[in-house]
Amino acid sequence: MLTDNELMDSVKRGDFDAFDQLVLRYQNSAWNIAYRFLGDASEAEDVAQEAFLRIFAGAGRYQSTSGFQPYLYTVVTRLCIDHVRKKRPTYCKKLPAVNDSKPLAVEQEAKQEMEKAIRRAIDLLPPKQRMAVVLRYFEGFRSRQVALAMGISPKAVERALYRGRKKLEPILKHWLEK
Amino acid sequence: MRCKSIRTKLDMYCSGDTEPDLHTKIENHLRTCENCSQTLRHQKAIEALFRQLPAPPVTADFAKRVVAAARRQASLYPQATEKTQYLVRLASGLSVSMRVAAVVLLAAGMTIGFVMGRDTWWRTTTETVGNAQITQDSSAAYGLDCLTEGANGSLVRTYLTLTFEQNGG
Repeated sequence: MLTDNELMDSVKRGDFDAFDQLVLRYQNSAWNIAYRFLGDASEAEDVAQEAFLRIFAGAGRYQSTSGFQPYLYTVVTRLCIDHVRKKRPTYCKKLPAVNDSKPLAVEQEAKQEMEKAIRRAIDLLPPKQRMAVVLRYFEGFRSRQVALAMGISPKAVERALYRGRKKLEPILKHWLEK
Repeated sequence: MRCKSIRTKLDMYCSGDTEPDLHTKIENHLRTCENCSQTLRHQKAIEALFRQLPAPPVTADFAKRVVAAARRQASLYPQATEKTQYLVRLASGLSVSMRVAAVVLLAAGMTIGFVMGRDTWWRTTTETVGNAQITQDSSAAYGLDCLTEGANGSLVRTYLTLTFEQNGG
């Protein structure tokens, strides 16, 4: 099996099969970060796709010193943050249809409530804090990996996580104390 | 160490990214401070809560679509730089009316810039010529050029001739 750097060397020479292997290897990672951050499947797919296309277009400038994975995370992270900063609220003329499917079991309903509460809490965070929380608590990155992916210092990561947690705790208090 | 300082470092402490000395200081503090210990418990609870939520899987044909898009991009603009390809993708995402509006704005901006630039050039050129004329003709510099245009035999001419002779010219 070829390493990431060997595959990127092939991509530099225009090898689409090598690019396909890289995408298959890391599509879940890119997708997970984008989905956790944006909360919308189609937007997450657009951002994840754009990240791979940018990597493909910039393959000539890729340097293998820090590895492909941190590089991919950096690209995805920046695209996610840019996406949120550029996004304007969309106004629907039609209200969404009421879900009148059969009622769920109590446990399932509680789980759905929890997921909605977490999603709402995360959406309230400003972009940098949101990304730090996603990478640290959803993806399990170490603090230094978060700093590398976001292109900020470890101290800035500490501050972002501290402030993010302070905002999340009161909203999620009910589930944290269970 | 103060509590606020400890709490900002709890993430690094949990992920094992602190130096050994700092790790020991934080541990010692947590043994004696209930508030910071509770903050640590909440942090671990947040982490555990978030980990319970799986993300839906990526679509089955995601890789196929990405590679197809890369092929399209490469075939349309084989020599394009990354920036050009990005701009092309951006432009192709705009509606026809937005593209027309962008072109109109660009043309208007260029026209205004050209007109203003031409006026500035004209003004600058005129002043430069005027200044050059003044410096070549010293009598014009002092506003006395009207005197040198007097007819032969006029009082002005006589005066200038006399003053010129008196000064040994």
